[in-house]
Amino acid sequence: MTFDYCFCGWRLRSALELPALPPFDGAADTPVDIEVSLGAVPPALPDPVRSTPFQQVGRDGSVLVRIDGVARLRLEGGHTLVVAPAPDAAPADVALFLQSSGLGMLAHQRGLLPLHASVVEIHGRTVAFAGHSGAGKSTLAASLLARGHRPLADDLCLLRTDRAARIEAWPLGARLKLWRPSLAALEFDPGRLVRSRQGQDKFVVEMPPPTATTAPRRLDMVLILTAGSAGDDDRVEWLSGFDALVCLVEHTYRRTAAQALGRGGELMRQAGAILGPDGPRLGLLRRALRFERLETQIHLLETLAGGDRP
Amino acid sequence: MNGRPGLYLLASYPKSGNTWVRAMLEAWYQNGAVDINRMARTTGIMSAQLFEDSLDISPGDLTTTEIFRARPSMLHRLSAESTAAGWYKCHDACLPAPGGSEPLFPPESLAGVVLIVRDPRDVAPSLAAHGGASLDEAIARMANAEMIWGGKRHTTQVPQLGSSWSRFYESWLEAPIQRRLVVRYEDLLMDPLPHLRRILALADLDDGEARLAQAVAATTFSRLRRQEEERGFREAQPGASAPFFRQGRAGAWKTTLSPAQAARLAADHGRTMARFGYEA
Repeated sequence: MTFDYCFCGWRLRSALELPALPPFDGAADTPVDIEVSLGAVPPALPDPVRSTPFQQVGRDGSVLVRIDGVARLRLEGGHTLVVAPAPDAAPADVALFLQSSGLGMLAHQRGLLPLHASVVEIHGRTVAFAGHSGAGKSTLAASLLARGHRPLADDLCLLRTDRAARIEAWPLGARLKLWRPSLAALEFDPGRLVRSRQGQDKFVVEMPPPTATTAPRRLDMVLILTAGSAGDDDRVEWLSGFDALVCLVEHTYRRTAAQALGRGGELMRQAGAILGPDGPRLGLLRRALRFERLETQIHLLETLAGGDRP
Repeated sequence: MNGRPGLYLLASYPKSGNTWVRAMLEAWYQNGAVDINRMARTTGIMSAQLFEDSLDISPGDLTTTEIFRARPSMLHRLSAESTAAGWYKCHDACLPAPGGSEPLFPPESLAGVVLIVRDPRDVAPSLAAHGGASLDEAIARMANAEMIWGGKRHTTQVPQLGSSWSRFYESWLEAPIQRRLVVRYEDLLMDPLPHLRRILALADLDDGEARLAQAVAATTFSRLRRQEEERGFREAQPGASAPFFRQGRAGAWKTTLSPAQAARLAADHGRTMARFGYEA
């Protein structure tokens, strides 16, 4: 049995279920662009240019993702992803790394710009919240969901810059991963949710229907989640020119690995195209990381999204 | 000024003057200009971002055990890529990684360690205020050899093996570290300048007395406290019941702790306290 998904407009056929991807809704005779299959994957690449315990980048542009006890993934050419699950690995755990490291590195191989960001539609505007691990991307997206706004992606925002000078943000998963303290603060009941991974106190919040959407969006705003101090008002500091460019590149998903793939210069060029005259505004959302401040932060974001572009 | 390349840890139990030392170093590098909310030169070795950038994996997708097992390889990488003295705050004990066989901090990955220590009887009230806990809870945490900081995972830090106050310091004293320096908080209070000089010398950094004096003057307790009052401090804990820069005194425990609480700390940690000259 296989599953057909939409990955940034491409047809991705998978031997494994990938709940974070929307189903493919194009014509039935559309050729398959990306194949995810089960097979043998060696524990290491022969000639890596970058190597960590979790990932290797080969001189030929191939990528090996390896999570002990879960799975090894081998990605080639942006079109082939072979998965070797570990014995007894939970399918959901295998899918988790396929959907994070796997899809993120696949995006790099295909020449996309994957941002380390969650994306939410607020009052019809598409806003990406970029930030490093633990910056609060998913919590902010979930609190916007609770206010009736619509998350379009969690943790990984895929940007295509190759089509008719249009920057497209592609919806990914209709699901958010939240640690228990965030769930508690947002009054979600963890008893009714599935764990993100076995042995983790992190849970998956599914979107209410309609969940899947495959249409790309124009990206209106990129806000970089930046820790502010409790004594300051939460605010947005808009950036432009080189500062904005550097900031966007810095929040590329797996940036150092992408540089090892030889994408350093291309990422700068793509970021420049994204931030062109018709592109999104980019700012630092400087805010205190306090659950009790979320409400005023949401209000700030709603005002921003509702306002006209200057 | 680059100094001798490598990783230099500012290792301390929490609430023992680590942030003050970091502020002094930041002020030294920036000729007296220090913003407590932008201390990028002395970030934490527990930073989730550092982990992710070094290892190409989201710590948020890993279990606590997987993170502990992977942290030594992060240190090897940072050490290998280092081109200048790099300072990192650290609240981990120097013990084997839980669930792993390698030490959490492989000694060969470290160029130097500054061990910052404070009388545990003054640490306890500060820890209680910082964590929004009672004094007795703080004292119990300080005795817990299995203590893990950041274990709830929803923050910008990866989990850290804090262990107990005694085990934390004993583990760092026992580790085969070539360049190790012990700095007592109480001595820093008396006269910070010579200690800042020694800390910098650990990484072969020296640029004369004027620059040291400037850094010390910029980071007096009252000046750091004023920064926190005016702008807040983003590293303060959400549930804290007092400012981060709270008292900055030595010996306040004599009026804060009950005799039973002071006796319990002395019983829990007396042997290690004696090694640092704290009389029970």
